[in-house]
Amino acid sequence: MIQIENLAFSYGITPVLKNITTTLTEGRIFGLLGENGVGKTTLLTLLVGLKEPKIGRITTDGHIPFKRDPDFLSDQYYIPDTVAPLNMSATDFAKSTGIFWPNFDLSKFSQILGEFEVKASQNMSTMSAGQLKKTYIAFAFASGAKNLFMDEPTNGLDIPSKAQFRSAIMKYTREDGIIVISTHQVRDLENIIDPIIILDRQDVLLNASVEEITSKLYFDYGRELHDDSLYSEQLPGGYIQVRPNQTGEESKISVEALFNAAHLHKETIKSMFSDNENI
Amino acid sequence: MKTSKAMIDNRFLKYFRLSLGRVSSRYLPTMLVIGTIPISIGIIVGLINVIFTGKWVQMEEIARMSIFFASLMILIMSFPAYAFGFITAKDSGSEWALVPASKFEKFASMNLITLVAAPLVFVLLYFVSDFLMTSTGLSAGRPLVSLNVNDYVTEVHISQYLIIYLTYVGNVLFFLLGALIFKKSKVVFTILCLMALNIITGVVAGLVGVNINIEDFLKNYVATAQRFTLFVNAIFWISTVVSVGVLESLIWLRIKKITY
Repeated sequence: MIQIENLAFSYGITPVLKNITTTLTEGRIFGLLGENGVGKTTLLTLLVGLKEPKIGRITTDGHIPFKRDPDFLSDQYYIPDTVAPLNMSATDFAKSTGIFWPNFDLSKFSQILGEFEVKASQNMSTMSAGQLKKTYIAFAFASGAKNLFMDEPTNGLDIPSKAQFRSAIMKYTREDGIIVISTHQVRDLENIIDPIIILDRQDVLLNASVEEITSKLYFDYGRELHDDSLYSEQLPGGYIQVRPNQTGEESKISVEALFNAAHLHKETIKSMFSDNENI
Repeated sequence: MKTSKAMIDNRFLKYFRLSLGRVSSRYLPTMLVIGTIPISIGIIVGLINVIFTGKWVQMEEIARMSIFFASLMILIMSFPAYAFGFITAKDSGSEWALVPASKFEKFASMNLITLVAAPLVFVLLYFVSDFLMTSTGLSAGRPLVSLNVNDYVTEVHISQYLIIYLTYVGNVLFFLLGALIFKKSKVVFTILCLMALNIITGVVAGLVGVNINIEDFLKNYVATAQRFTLFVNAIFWISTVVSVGVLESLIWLRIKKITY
């Protein structure tokens, strides 16, 4: 379990995160959404121990991330937005680095890399950005780490690879783990992320499961526009509208529409989900 | 058998091996170029003379020793930036920071590689290259390995290897700290800092000198040659121990507190 208490972070005098309190529990794939510059990457780097909170505290299963204890580090893997093109083959990278993760499985790494159609013998410094990202994704899944943190994992992936990524995340991750994915490509991951965290300027606007979201908001794909829509967008043959769910009717979430609705009606959304701090 | 298994399972050894492998992949080509300078320079000088004078000219001991120190300086300036400069980069640095080994293991490994492995490989390569040149008659005089720095530097009565090694340590740690602090132009900025530090030290020493009576000091404390040697040795050891201690502390703090 990851506990974030009164977390604040700033770059010099520019505040990025302010007074964030939330809990991330096991067995879920958190989608971390937000506009550019709201602090998604900052939050991820704080969670993995690459930054030290200025105020507040983060604990992951009792560990303080910034101490970077080996026991803590061997139970997590982080894929940043841009990954390092090391001067070695993917196999050598996996063999030499994987030994630090007790549950690392080299055959699983080779298998995932095969599914991603990346040559294990290729030198990482000669790989394209997409191939390099896929190598690190394969490593993350093969590491057997409990907690995985990914910053824009589908950036640079071609269309088949995005589908392979979705399939791999369901197939190769631990059920007792916490996965946090920060992304702008919500359509790539719409069907796998649950709960959804939307960051606003310095704050968490929403942290709720898909079930809770759809119990409070109705995603209307009809042809008729409604006055109570928090957000509406014309689609071929109709509209997508986000409306308060007053009838308890079930609907299929559109993460992009949810994000836009939250962006337009911050206070409304925040008050609707204000009792959902702990997921 | 048990000990050997424990050794293999040891996380520090695993990390050291990983780090050494990665440093080798980054620096080995440069090390080969620097380590074989006695051959390349010896042949270039010889060939130039063959072209212009028609005679092969052997490089003398003193010239070879000067080139050795110049090569050592190249190693000191380039090795830390090539080997560990990646740590300040966001992508490769964060990958390094999150490898499951303790901060101290990373610090110790970095020290072992910089202070033991790198000079050892350099000296071996360099002396073997130099030996090949002298034993084949392509360079003049004795091999460098058999020369004694104390023949040339008479004031400091410490083993020549220790003097060279401690000079290497003090300087390479400064460049290592520079490599861990500056994100770009690591060597240039480190040299500028070194120059600034020398200026400041000079000014401070000057101010101290103004406030003490040099004549009395020399008369009372370093009046004899023996006392002067002791004085130089004491200054050498104190400055080495203090600078190494300060530099190691700053490197440790940088590794401990680095953020991405």
